[in-house]
Amino acid sequence: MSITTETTDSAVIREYRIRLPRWLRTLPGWLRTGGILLLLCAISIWVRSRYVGGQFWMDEGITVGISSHSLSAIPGIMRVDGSPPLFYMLLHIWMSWVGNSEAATHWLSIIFATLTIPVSYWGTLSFAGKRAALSAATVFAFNAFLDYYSLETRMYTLMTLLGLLATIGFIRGFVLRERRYVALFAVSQALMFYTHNWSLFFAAAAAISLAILYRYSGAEIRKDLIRDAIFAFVGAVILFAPWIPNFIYQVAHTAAPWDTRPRFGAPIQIATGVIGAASLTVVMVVGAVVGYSKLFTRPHRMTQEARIALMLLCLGIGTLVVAWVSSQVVTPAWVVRYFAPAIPAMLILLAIGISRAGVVGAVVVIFLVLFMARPSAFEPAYKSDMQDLGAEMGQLMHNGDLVIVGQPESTPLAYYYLPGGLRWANTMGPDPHPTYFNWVNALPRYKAENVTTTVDGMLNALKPGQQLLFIRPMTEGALNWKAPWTFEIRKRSAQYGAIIARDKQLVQVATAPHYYRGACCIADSAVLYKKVH
Amino acid sequence: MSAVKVAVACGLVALLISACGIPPKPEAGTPHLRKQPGTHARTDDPRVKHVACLRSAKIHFHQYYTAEHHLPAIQVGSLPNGPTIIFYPTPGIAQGLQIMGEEQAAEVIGGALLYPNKATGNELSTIENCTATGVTG
Repeated sequence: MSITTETTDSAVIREYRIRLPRWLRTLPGWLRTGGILLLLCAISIWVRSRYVGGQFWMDEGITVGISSHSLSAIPGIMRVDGSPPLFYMLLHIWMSWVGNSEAATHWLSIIFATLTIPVSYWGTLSFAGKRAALSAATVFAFNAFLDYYSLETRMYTLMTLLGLLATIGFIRGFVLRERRYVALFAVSQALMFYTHNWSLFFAAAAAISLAILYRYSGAEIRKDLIRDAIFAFVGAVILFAPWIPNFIYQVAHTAAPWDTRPRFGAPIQIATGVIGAASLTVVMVVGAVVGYSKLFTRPHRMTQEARIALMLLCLGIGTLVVAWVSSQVVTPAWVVRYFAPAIPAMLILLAIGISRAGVVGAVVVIFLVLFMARPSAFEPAYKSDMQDLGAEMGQLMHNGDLVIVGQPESTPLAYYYLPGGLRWANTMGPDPHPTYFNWVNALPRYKAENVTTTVDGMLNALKPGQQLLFIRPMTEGALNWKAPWTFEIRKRSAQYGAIIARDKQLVQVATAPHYYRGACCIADSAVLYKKVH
Repeated sequence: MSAVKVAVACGLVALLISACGIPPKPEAGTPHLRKQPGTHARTDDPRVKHVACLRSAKIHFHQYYTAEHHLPAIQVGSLPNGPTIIFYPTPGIAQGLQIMGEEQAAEVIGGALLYPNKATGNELSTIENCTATGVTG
């Protein structure tokens, strides 16, 4: 590509230059670059939208359920859900325009993922040059994490976009000392606070990175650095202030009792969940190391380029390290999908390194594109069978029938796929709010429930002729059911199943699914009973 | 700001807040529920790809559900000659039935039990291939 105007100054790394056809060379540079970005966006959208109509799983059911409420009601619901409200409010507005189908809501995630392509170009261009910027845009266009979460109606692609803006703001504001970008960092950080709680880990990593920057920088960077840092963090907290009372309440009363503490498999999780595969990760890291090799030599150690690379490393890996430690000592909060804020720094770091690796880098980019540009490579696994259960059972049900969901937080998903007019309960008892789940003190409440009294009460309230649909999770995999919450669900579903099955007033009418192809996340089975006397 | 602008702004805000773009769900008991707007549930029918294969092979068949357990099934031609294919929820169930001594007259292919009945060799071979569509391993 003739856009490769920069050259590396390492004697080891061989530079390359691709000659463009004459007609293309006559076009202005901005048009060529714009064309490449448009092409990257188009291919990326094509790859990411192949399975846009795929079924929801539990978390998406909760998200759409909450977002279906009015804008004014959403913050109050989020208080008991445990998450910040920004994505849910944006989704509410989006759904009011385009509807709440799986495809319609997945498109919002695709849009956020696509925006990372031009934004990464713009950001990287300013501190690493055009070749690195195009490399970054390509890496964001062909990224497994963004591919996968483009097809989830959750906040993760938005979080990646905001993390990208915050990373750009950090580098330009604090490392390059373009002080107006400190405001970009502060605003992006505040929006991250409103989007997902892992933003706290990113903020902690940013603070640690600033301390390292201060320690290893000269007077030109140190000047006013502390003042700007205080301005950025205090500004972000002030912008977040309206939500802080809710945040404190959530920290005190809601948690993720379904999660377990992470061990030392994090690098494998990053390789497969973020980059796409261990082999691809190795190729990209090798390419980046080749590109950064000159930074290990004495003349380049304390250059601006080295400082940028160090800060990107600190932001990306630092976020993960802080989250990992927090999951050990505070409460577990470690799932690949939460990595979103750490990903932009890691990808830009890799992209810059690859762009400096000459021919090796070009080979890496070609390998990346060929590896990732296959829709089937990251075809989302079949997420849940609730869509099928809803179709099979929904047509057999009538107004006033009762649905009992074995896994309480799956109720919004079942609600989404089953028809209206039903009564709802879960293995915690009757559920007057099936569109969301109340996580406040959920585990103690769950353990305190008297199963026999609760189930008998619900069964006795059924009138002859009314039906009961019992939906329970498939718990054959051991790992998913080890956390305190999920352990309780597996046991409680069996207890409910036993009481319902031996009730002489009930006869079995139907079972589902009739076809189960496996599910990536959580699948369910269902039995429909009718009260005969 | 003119009254018209205020009215337009109020209308847009009301549109944002009301979520009126979300169609309501049909009530339980509504006829033809799955065809109603606002329904997101869809049956996952295991026969789709096999049916396409049989059609392309120009084999005469009809689809039905078994009386017991309401399992999706395909009858090729007619009994007693034409093969019968019954689709079980998982390959494990289909295999388990045979392991436990039941369904000895069937071939297990993926999650399906294929009963050859009195089909000719060529016809059976085509039907076996169609039943194996999408089966891994």
